[in-house]
Amino acid sequence: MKRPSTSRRRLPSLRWLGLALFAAFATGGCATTAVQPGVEARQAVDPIPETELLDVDIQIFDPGLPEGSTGKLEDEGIFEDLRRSEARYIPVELMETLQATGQWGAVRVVPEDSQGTDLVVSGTIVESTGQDLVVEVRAVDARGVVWLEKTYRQEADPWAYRDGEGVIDREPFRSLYNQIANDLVVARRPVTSADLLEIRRVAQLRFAADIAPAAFGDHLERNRKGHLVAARLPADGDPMVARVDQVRERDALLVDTLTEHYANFHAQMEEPYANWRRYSYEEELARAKVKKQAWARKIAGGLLLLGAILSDPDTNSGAAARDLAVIGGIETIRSGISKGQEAKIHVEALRELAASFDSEVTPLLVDVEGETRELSGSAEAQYAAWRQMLRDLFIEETGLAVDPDTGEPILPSVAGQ
Amino acid sequence: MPEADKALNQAFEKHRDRVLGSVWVMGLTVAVGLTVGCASSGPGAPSVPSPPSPTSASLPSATPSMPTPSVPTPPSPASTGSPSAPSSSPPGATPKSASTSEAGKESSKESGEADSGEPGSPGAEAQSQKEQGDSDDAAGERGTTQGSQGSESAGMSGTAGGTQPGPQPGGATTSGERRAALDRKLAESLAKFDGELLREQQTLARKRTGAGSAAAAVAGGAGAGSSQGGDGDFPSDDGATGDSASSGWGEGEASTPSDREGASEDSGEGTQSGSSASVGGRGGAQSPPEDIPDGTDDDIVARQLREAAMNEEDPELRERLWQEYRDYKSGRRSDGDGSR
Repeated sequence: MKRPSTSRRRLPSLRWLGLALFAAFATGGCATTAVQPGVEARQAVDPIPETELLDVDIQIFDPGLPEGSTGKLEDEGIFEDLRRSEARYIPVELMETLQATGQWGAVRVVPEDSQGTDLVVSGTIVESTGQDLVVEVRAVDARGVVWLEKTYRQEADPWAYRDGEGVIDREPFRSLYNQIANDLVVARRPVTSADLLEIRRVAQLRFAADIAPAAFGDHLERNRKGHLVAARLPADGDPMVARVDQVRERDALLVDTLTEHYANFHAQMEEPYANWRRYSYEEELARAKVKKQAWARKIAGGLLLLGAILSDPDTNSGAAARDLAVIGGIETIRSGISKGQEAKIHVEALRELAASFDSEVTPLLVDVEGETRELSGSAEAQYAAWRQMLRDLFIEETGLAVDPDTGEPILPSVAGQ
Repeated sequence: MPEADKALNQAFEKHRDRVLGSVWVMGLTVAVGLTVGCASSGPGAPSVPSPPSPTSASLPSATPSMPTPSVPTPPSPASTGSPSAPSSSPPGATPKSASTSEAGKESSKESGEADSGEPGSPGAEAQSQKEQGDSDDAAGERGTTQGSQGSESAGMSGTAGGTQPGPQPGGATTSGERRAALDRKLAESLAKFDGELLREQQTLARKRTGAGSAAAAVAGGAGAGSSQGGDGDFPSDDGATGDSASSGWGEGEASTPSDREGASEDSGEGTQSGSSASVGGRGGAQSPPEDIPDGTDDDIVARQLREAAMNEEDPELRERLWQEYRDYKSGRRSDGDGSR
């Protein structure tokens, strides 16, 4: 007799549990963290063993430009060149934050996905004004394990915009960067030393497989979860390893140079961007205030008119009140409309600010885009040449047959089948 | 009759002395040849067992490793750390992952041990067995042609199931030369790339610091600057590579030591130690050309270039590095006119 009631009692709880799970699942992929000002970045207290220091590459962010004409985007407060500049500015800011914590090895900014890095951070700008910054951030290690996938939102710290010498940090979204850095540290916490070692090993092998696929292509495999694992290791003193290491050093040097480009751009953009954000913040606040007032007045005017319509016109006092309400209502609505127009002035001011910023920064943006593209492009051509040389060396050293179709050497495992 | 016996004995002893003498002379000749051959293989030393007394048993063991592919004397003792030196089995040759590191370590001894009949290691695995077999069968033939790299080919061809014909005695030297040439080409290409990146960094440094010194930004800015992630050490051709290569990948050794050093140590020291390591690995330093200053005012980049050039054995590459050094020094002096 009791059993049914128990099960009935369980049903709602199960339903709630299911709902909770669904909610967790639904929000898990795009969890938003509202960051409050005042978050400090966690510094490494004890020195981290060198073998456990992971290198981090931060990719240039996706500017998050929705499809649409430039004019339409500007109406929404999105300015294309500004966004593209921010897509380079924010990663450098994040890089500096991570570097300052001492929790990581080399932290660098790269134009695109890199093969041989321990941890890759990528992101998308969802919203960026002087008032709000919303970014989606994702961190994946060399094995393909996702460490972090979150949306961060922060309202600007007004202290950063204040005049005077007392302002310590001029970065209004410092807490957001600190929060990302802290979350990465938290995500690293459950990763064991063995896993950290494995991540670095896989990163090395990924690079090796990319640059010398004939020699190292079969050193990695995917486990059941789809993550990369080292299937086997090269021999100690393997000359091919030495060669690949030489190329990898150059790759690190190249990435450093690219990073330097972005850092230069960041430094050059810093002042105009700070000014833009500051004025943009003021304009955004003023626009929001005016917009609010405009709506309030329009609603008040509407209510007055409604009152006039509903009032009794037969009595003298009623007629007088009605006239007053009509006049007052119309005036209030008119004032609301003019407030609305004032808000549009702020939008125009924002647009002008962005245009001014663009004129200052766009040449720099064009420069950095061109230079990094040129550098990456010529490096890619160079890498192709190195791949060919390493392949020739591999063939020369092993005497393996070459697949006539692919031009790749027939690997022992294939040959054995 | 005793006189006849005595005469017979004397004749026998004379003959024996003559034979032994000629054998001894032959042995001595071979020993000298071996020594010269080994010496000329330069950095390939680790895998070359020093020839003991020229006994008939040790000859074949020494022979395989003697005429290393990098021997071709005139233009180049394989440039970048002579990658052919460590006679480890190449990747892919190892049938088991667990055996790779051991095999790698043992392979350097193979050429010496195979002929004496000793197993490469107590726990010899498939690879070493194959190698032993190969070297037993064809040690002389392959050895004389392939040198220390012969063991690599042995391993690989064994694993490949004999899809390729074994290296021919006459063509193997050519193969070694080809490999040395490829290594040289790779090293040249890397050096050229270094030069290009160096120039790029100089330009960037000038851009960033305005009238400031390029070197300060390239070397110091990298380590301490906010944007660099601790790098900026300009790697020499071999430098840390030799370290990381020899340390193996499974041991958590930093693949880009300069970065990691930069994060934790004074970059100057890191560079110094890396360079000195490479010096040790590469052998004697060459004296600089006459027009090269004494280097007392060298910064970290110039110092690295200087060390790389002094330790470069390939004359062409060495000259290129000195040219880089000159360009760099003159670029610093003029300090502002784009050198690109």
